[in-house]
Amino acid sequence: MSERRAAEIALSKLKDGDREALAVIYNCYGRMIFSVALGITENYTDAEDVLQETMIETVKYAHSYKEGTNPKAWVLAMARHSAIDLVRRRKNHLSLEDSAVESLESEETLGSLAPEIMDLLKKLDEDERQIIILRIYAELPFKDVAKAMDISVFAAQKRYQRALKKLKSISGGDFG
Amino acid sequence: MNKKEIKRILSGFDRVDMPNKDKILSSCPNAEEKASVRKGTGKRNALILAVAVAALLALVGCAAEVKEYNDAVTFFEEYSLSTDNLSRSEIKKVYRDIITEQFALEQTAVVILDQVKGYVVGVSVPSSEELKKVWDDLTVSNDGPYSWYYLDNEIEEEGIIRSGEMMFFKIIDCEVIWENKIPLRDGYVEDYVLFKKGKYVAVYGVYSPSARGSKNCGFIELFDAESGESLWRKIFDDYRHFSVSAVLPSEEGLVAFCRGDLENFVFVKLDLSGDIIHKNVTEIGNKGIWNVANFEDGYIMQLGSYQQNEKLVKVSDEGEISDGFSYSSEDTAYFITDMMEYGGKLYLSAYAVPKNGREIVSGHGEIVSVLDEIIDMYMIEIGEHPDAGFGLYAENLTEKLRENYTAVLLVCDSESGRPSEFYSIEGSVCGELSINEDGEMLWETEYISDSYYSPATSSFSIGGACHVYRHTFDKKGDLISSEKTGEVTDFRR
Repeated sequence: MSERRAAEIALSKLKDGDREALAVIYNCYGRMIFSVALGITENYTDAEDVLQETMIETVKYAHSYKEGTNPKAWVLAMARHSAIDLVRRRKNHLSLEDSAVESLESEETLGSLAPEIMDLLKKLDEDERQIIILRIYAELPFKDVAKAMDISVFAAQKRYQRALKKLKSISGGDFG
Repeated sequence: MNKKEIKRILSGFDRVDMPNKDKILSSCPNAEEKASVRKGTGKRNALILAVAVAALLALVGCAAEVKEYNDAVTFFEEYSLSTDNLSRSEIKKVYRDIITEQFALEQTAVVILDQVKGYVVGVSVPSSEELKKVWDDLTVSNDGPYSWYYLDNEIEEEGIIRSGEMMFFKIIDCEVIWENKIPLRDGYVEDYVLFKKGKYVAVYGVYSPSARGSKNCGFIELFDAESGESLWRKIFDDYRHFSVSAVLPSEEGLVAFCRGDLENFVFVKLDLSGDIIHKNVTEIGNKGIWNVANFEDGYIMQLGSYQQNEKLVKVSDEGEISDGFSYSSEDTAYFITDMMEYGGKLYLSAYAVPKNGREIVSGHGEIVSVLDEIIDMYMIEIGEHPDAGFGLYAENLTEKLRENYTAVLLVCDSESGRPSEFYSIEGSVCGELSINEDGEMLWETEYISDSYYSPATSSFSIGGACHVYRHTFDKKGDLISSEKTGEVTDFRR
């Protein structure tokens, strides 16, 4: 409870203009936001940008947080959108400036920071990665995963199952 | 690779160094972290504030439950929260608010069945010879080689008679293979489930631990299916009223679908040793858990009450409820009695009753229109009309009942959970879904063969006898055969 309740209280205070509450949100979910961002962008610097962007948006949109809903899910939905935007912007940017490719390769990537995670996630497509990270790492219930990804709960469950089956079939092991 | 392994790998995220916190927060608009001295972390301060806020919450009247109160106090102590100025019930309320999520069952989709494609399956009207022996053939069906009975060993406790304990036994070809006592009084067995390829049998139900009967506890007892040895007994006493409504096997052991205090859905996972490995509580209001089936990587659960028709909800592997729907049609009410996943689809065994302009609730409510006709007939003075009286009406009663009931098998899409087609059989109510040795799905229906009106019976008004039909579906979901089994079951509403 404690983390969720603390975050709910903090968001409520943030709505009332108490900026100190942002530190509480960071303490509760900063690690989770950064990790989800790293899983999507595969790049440390980009994930750092996403973390910063998400904290800014938390301040900006605190008034729209609906009391009683899952604060972690609310924050991670923003983080996910921010990360996807950044990845897409980066792709467009790289297509115009080949020299940027070299600099990207020299930055800290998910592959260099957490090779075992990279080995796991590279087996999945973009949606499946996000579902696995949000469901298993962030431990979001399916209804919140669905909201974060703008899909139905049934679609979220179906893709989750597909992702798990893919991991099982590639690893050749017995799932469960 | 299993889920645990995936979780372990992803926990590698936690070992990546985080960016500098001050740098991140300082870039946010008006975001400053004051360097004031705190007693603990920012999280703990917020919790202390949460308790202060909670202290202003309106009290919800609830009976003082010692165990729940002790759990709440333990929880407060664990997080260094003060219980000063909070009453006993306030402490419990804060604790329950925190750990219990609410699910609004009103948010359910209504599936309109009028547009769903259907197939009619024919069954034969019983011959006069069959009708003559139908009441002799009527048997009380036994679902399998396991059953239970209640001992007569009543005792007196605190001046109150307590009912006998329960016996669970295995029987094959009328021979008792083993029996074992469940030493719990004032209780009942809800049902049992076989799992791990018939190696274990788990029995579950409810009992009252004290003579005063002020508390009901749930229980699950695991037996070795071969020897009958009791391996463990798990008692659930979290609430004043706790019932274990359904139990299904799972990868780790068992999953129990329970009700707490008639308003909470309590989802409990146990391992093979009987230890609880996961629990989730959702407030659903006063709804009974009527049926549960495996579906996708979670479950589908039928909730209902006799004041309102049932709803189906999806339950995740972690016990969270999502998406509810109920089945309806403008002219017809549907009542689901069994459900099963097969061949990637969800099958719902149900029966349909015409609404005749009114809302129908299950049970006695299904035969209201039939009873109206009986009463109309009864009002005709005996002797004034040659067709009046119960004797003659009994012949028409069966015909009226057959018009009133249609067994329906809904075939639901695995992606959406909504029905895409159905099979129907007139004059029938439905039974169970099962899988035979060849891996084919069996759907049993009960054709109303004969009936009688019983106005003086308290538990039912119309009784009857039904011939059982078994319909076999192949793995593609096609109906491949329908046969009369020779069994006869009773009908009571």
